[in-house]
Amino acid sequence: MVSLSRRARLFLQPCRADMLFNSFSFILLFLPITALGYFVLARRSQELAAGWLAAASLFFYGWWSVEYIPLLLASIVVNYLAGGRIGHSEGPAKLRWLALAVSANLLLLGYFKYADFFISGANALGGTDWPLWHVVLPIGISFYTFTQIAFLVDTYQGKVKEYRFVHYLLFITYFPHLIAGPVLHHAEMMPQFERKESYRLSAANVAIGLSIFAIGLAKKVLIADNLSPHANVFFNQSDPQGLLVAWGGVLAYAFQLYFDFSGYSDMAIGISRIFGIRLPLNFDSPYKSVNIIEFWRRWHMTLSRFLRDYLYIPLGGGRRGNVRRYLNLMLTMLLGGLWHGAGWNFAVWGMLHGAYLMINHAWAALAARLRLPTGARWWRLASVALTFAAVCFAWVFFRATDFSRAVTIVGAMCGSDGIGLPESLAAHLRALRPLLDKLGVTFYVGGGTRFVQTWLWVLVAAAICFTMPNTQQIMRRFEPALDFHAAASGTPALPVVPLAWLPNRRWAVLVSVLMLACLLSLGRPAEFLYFQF
Amino acid sequence: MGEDRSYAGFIKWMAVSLLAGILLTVLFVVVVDPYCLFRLVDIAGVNAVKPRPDHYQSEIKLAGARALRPALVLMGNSRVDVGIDPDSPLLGAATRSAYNLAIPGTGVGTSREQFDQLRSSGAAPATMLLGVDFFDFLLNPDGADAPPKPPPGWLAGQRWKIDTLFSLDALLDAVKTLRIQRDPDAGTMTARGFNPLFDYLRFAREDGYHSIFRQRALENARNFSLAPHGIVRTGGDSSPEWRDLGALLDAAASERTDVHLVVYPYHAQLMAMMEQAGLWPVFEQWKLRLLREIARLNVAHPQARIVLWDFSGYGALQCEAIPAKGDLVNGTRWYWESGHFKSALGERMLERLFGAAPAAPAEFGFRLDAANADENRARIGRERQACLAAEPAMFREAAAMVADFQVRQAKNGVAGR
Repeated sequence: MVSLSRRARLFLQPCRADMLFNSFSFILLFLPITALGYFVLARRSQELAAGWLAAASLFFYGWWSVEYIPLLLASIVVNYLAGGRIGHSEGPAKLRWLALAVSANLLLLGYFKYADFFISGANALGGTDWPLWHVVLPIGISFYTFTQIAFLVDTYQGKVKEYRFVHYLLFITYFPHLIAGPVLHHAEMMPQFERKESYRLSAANVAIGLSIFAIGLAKKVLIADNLSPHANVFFNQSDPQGLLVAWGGVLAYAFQLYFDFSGYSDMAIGISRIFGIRLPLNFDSPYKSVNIIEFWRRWHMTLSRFLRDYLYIPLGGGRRGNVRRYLNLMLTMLLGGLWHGAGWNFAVWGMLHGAYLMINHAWAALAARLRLPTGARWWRLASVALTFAAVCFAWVFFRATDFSRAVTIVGAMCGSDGIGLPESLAAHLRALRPLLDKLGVTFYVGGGTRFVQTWLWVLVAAAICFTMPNTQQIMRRFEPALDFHAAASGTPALPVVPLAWLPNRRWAVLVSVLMLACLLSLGRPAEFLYFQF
Repeated sequence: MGEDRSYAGFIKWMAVSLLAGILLTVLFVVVVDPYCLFRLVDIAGVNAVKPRPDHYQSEIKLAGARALRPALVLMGNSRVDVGIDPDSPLLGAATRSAYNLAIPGTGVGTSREQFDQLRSSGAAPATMLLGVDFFDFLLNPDGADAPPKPPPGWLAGQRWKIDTLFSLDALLDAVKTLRIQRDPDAGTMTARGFNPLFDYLRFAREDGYHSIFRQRALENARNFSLAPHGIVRTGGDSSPEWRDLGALLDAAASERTDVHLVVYPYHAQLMAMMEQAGLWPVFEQWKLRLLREIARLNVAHPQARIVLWDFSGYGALQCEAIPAKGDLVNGTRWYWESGHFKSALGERMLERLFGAAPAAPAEFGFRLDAANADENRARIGRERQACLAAEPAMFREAAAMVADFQVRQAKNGVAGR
């Protein structure tokens, strides 16, 4: 018996890491089996179907890290019980229970995510030599801890009405969001787990869900994964080689991150829709934002919502004057940065965005007082360019391996290393040579193919990002997400190609071609960037 | 109800067109056969010339070798992959069916795995030419060995078969196959696993050989400067690379496979950089260690037939002049760049190994044994004097590139990648 199980493990072991949304094992096995079991059981009992989906979600999580299932379950049970205590207590006891439960969550996250960060910080400041603990970060802990803190606070505020354990278990473990979000609100999910329609197989949900999933998968495997080697090579090499190489590498990363994470979010929304459950939006073309305030309303929207509702507003928000508002913004963004990882680079990235937001608020007030033409098309276009550039500068600190390297890259982006081009391009640029010489362009040996490919992929990604509608805009006629409002983004600064999905043959063939291209690219599934947070 | 029908129709159409797309793709790849795995259609001008695969090269080559069951296999890294042509008339004359199993970027471990696979399928060759690369053996004596990788499971072992049939790479390579039939500069792989590196011809034409040599030299300056200076771990007097070599030689002896162990003919520029980086004494130790390994093998397997050929040195061939900067007219005869020799030089090596009357200079390819190690050192010393006199600028530039990197490294604190 032992040898059989060992053989079975050996047979399957190399596929364990493959349980990604963008893997054959997920698309061809896990998803169909889970959906089939769910809808068959739903005919008998909703509770049974919800239980099946929660069990499948735990299996999905266990495929990633079976050793952390007890931790996940313990966190769920403790928070569920704490939620009950908070909900049934009154007065100071209610607050005490909330403080206790939130502290327990933060301690858990602090231990797993920040222990080494604090030890190395203490060593650096105090000159001590305490050994690091090398704690392994359980996958998804940042997401499920935040989701449950939100649940506790909502319970304290009396917003939680539903306490069935199986629904709570499903709310936390629900596999489309468990590993990398979106960060969900109890109030937006529980009514859906209650609703009868969620348990009925619907051709509309399957067609819409599969289409959203296919678009998300294409963003990940056809765009992000093709940008990834160029971004990785740039950030791992020692010499940024001038302005164009630096911008090429940073833009490759900026677009990789966007297509990777928004692709993941689309896939999560699409998969969930197949089960009749709508998830909230996580991205809304953030790189088209005209300022940083808008960027944060359109990038990782569910995290921004969490930080606003559970950190910025409790801190006082903008209610206590401008100084406190700026302080609160900075603190929120700093903690938001550190949520992504225990490292000074994330802290710097967060503080940079905090500073951007402060400048943005001050500038908006000044622009209003001076009656600047902020609504003019040319102004909005310039604002999009400036905002995108500022975001790119900040990404350098987010991605660079260390602070000094980030500073070198930022310097190169500003031209401190001059402008370098690969020598292999020199022959093709003969006509421009006098101009290039005048500009001080130098030529370096090697890297020609990499340079050309990087910029080609950056241009492709930029064209898609800035001229195409996003997934929810394509699916706008079919309520693609929970909080989607077709006109919410206001007047776009850039014109977009008008594309609107319809359940007709043309779209069916188009989606199947997209799906075929994705299936062909699944040979080497690459992890999603946000899994590390 | 009508709305439901339209959604159901959408799903049906999507499923049917997806299935049709999958079947058409598979059919196209099988017929065009970019990796020479199915051999159903082979038409000159249509699909006879195959592109060089970027992925699964080891599996594809192994499948080719199993199908052809060669008497001679050529193993090693990219130096053998691009340098020794198994279609050489010399091998044909000796009636040896040969296959180039060398895989770029790999060490002896890969050769060992390949030999084991050939053995297990009953296709162990009569002769093996095994290129061993000094740089693969370099390690930090005080470091620790990486834990051995677990063998892939059955499913993972079959993955390459799916990917060479149904993947974007396979589809694009099938399209490329149709496109490159008359392209003299295409990157290709012959039916016997050889990479003629035709794609370098375009670089040479457009950028000149000087540029190609310089690019490689800059990489070498960095790699040699950062390279550790040991070949065995302090405690165990061995390393994974030595253990792989020992296991491969043992397996070859068990199968009565003749082994020609080859020390590569690095270009003089590379050798000069190796000297500047302080690696020369380690290189000599390494050759002695190879001799020790052979002695061990001969004791363990008295019937083993193994010869060590030292093609390193500064002879007339290795000291080939590098064309001047901007020179797009003059090419090289023997080398693509300092690390990779052309098949013309590979031909000279085969003449030394298997030919009756070698056309190469008498000292190109020294048959090294424990008794003549000093003589070999003296040969290299003599060759170096002559090469230095002929190409003093090459030695100067090689030394300057290494020194320049080391100065920058000291200044910037560039410790690694």
